[in-house]
Amino acid sequence: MNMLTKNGNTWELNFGVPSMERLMRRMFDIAGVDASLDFRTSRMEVEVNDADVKVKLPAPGCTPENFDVEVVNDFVTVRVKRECECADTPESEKHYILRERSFEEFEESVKLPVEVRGHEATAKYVDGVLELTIPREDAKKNTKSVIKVK
Amino acid sequence: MSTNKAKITAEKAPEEKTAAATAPAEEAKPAEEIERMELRPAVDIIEGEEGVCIFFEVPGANAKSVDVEVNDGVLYMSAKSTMTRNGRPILYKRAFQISDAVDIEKITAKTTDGVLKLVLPKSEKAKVHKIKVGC
Repeated sequence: MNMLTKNGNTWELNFGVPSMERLMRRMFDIAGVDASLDFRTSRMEVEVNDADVKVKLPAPGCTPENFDVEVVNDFVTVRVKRECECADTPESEKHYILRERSFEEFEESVKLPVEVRGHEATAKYVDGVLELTIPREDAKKNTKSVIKVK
Repeated sequence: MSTNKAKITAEKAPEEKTAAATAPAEEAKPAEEIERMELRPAVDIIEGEEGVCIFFEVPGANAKSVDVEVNDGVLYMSAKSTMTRNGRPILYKRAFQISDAVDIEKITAKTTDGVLKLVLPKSEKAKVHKIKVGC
C-alpha cells in the first residue's frame, strides 16, 4: 500500500486505515481550530523534484550534533535527541508556569516514493528545520520522450 | 485608561561555526498569496526571580519573520514559517495576558534554531525584596 499521497508538490504520509488520530486531525482542520495538537504523527515533509528529493523535519531547539540520519535504499530514518535550552539550571529549580514542549528522544521514518542515491545525500539544519536533499536515482536518465501523433 | 503598546524586535542568536549551521539558508518562496495555516506553537513558561522566560517552538521561522507585540496587557506573537501543512505555509500565532508586574519596555526576544525566547523582566516594584531581620 502506498504510504505517501501527493498534495500539490508535497508528499504526505498516508496510513491505509483512517485512524482516530487522523479523523481527529481532520475534524480540527475543518473546524479551523488549532490543528497543531501533537498526535504524534509524522511531521516529515517530502518534496519530489526532477533531480532530487527534499525531506524536511521540524525539530526546533536542536544542534546539528543532535541528529542521526540514515538512508537505506528508499527509506529515510531520522533520530533526534535534544536537551532543554536551559539545561544548566537543575530541573528541580525551575518553576514552570506552563510546560508543553518535549525534550525526549524521537525517531521519524519515511519511505520515499522514488529511488534515491542515499550516499550522495546532504543535510542542513536551519531555523529549527532539518532539510535533507537526496539525488534521485533516475535523475540522469532522460525519461522524457516526445511521441508524435499522426 | 492609558493604552500600553510595545513592539519587540527579535534578534537572531549568533550562529555556530559548524558546517551544517553555516550552510546558506534557502530563500523562502513568497507565499503571501496563499492563505497561511494558523497553528498554535508549543510553549514553555518558566518563572525566575528576575522575571519570566517564554520559549515558543517556531520551526522554519527566524528573527525576520517573527513579530511580537504587547497591546493592552496582552502579548501577541506571530511567526511565519517556511514549513507547510496540507500545502499551505504555516503561521504560528499565540497570545498571552501578561501581568502588570512585567516591565514591558524591557522585554527582549531572541530566535535560536527555531525557538523564540522572550524574557519578560519583572518591574522593580514587583521584585521580591528580602529584609534581614536583626536581633
